Amino acid sequence: MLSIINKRNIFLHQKLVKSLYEQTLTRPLATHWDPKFRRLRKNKFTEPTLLDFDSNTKEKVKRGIEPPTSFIYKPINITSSKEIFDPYIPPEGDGKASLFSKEFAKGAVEKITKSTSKKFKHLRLIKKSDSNFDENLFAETAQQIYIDAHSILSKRDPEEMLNFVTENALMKMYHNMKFKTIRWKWIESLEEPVVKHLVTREMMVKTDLYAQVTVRIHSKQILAVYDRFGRLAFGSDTLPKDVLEYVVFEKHLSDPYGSWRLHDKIIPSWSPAKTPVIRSFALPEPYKTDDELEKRIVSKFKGDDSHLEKIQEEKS
Amino acid sequence: MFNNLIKSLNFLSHNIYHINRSIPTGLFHTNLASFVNKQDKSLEEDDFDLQRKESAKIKNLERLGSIKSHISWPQYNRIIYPPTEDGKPIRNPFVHHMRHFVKYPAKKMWYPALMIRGMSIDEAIKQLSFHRLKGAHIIKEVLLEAQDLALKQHNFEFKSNMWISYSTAVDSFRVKGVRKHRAMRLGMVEYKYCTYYVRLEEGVPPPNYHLEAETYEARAKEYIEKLRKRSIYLSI
Repeated sequence: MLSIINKRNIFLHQKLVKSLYEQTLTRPLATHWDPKFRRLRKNKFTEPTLLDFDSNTKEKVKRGIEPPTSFIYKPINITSSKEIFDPYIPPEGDGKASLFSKEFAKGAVEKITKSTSKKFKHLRLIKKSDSNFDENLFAETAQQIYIDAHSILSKRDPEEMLNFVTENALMKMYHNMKFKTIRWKWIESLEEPVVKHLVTREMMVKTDLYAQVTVRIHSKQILAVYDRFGRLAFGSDTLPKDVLEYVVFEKHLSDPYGSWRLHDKIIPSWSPAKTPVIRSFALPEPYKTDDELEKRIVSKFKGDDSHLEKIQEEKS
Repeated sequence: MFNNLIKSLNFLSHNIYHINRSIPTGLFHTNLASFVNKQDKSLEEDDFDLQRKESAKIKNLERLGSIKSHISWPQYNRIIYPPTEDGKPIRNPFVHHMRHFVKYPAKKMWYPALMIRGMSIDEAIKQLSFHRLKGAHIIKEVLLEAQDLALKQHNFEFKSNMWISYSTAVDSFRVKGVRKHRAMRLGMVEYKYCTYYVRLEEGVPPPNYHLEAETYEARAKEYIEKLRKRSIYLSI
């Protein structure tokens, strides 16, 4: 029996001690009826070496465990770059009927002055490796490369495509195409293809040279994208569409086995909206850009045309 | 005598090298224990090393066939059906999904998996969220993952227009432990893992899913299909 002095202690102790009935209401199902010897009962079992397959690496890193080291060395690819050097800004209102509007005239004037000053120097560097490089001829061969690349897409063979397409473009074309069937047809070209912009740049070493050429292609095409189960997901099989594109072709000049390949497309902001996808879907969350990652990505190509000054020195 | 001196000096020099090695570990009295084989800290096993060893064991068991392999079920998601002229697909669109190495016995997991068969996905999630067992909540997570996959990757249109056509739980492997009984008697304890398989299809669920397999017509169909599936081994 406890003394009368410890009345407060009695009061507190009563709350902590629950009756067996109250314990049965709140405890989980698989338990012994008398929880008094719970800890001694635990000692009867060996500690199993169970592994958590459920927790992610992030939760484990928080606890202090290092993530596993990966000994997979990713290969570096030198045959193509991952960017567009000095992107060509197409003038507004290019594909429309009113060619002689004010906006178009302004844009045409600006572009001519910027490009002619260094265009011939870039051309000279390209002609060192390709002596038979002509702008008008190249535009037609580029259009043929464009047709070949898109017609091979439906075969789903990335090794064949690398003959016509760089690794950068293959990433973008092949990724969403894996589990779908595509039917693509080229009907005709509405205007002659025109070379609009020429750029060469050198990678870290002086002897590495890459060249990029933008070509303007205006054409009629048919595109139909089918689902994994054969249902139409985008476009149509019979109706053609007019397509205006500024396509970038790239070549690794210092490589003896290099060839002109499709690299990327420039889509201007004033282009008309795409046709919508056939099925209805909920809008996805907005794409968040990783600012820290973008700071770390530094291109290995110089941003200048400083390698062109040496051509003048060689002449003089 | 001179040779003995040289030998003793060599012996000392080797021992001194060992002693200098053991000094930076910490306490001074460990120098006396330098003859004992101590494991370095780099040889201790982390959770990831243990997991790699266990996963290697599991892969070997899968290769031998004593555990069902976990690769074939999601490979059905990679089949591409060609487009038809009518526009109707050859086969009702489906999604396969699974979760393996769930720390829960397959016998208990089977009950909610049986309950779900033939239900629409909304009904299934409602029923599982108020289920008594722990495995029901795991199945609910798997269903939500499968729903996301279907909408994003497999071109399903509506989130609630799906139903469950296949769901089972299967044994995968067990870890054995020991427990003590009254006197010097020991008993075996098994810690069990299972896998859970699901197939979602698009559309409204059929009205008599459970009763379809019990009609005479359906049973006759199954029997004939079984007979036609047979193939002669090593035939031309």
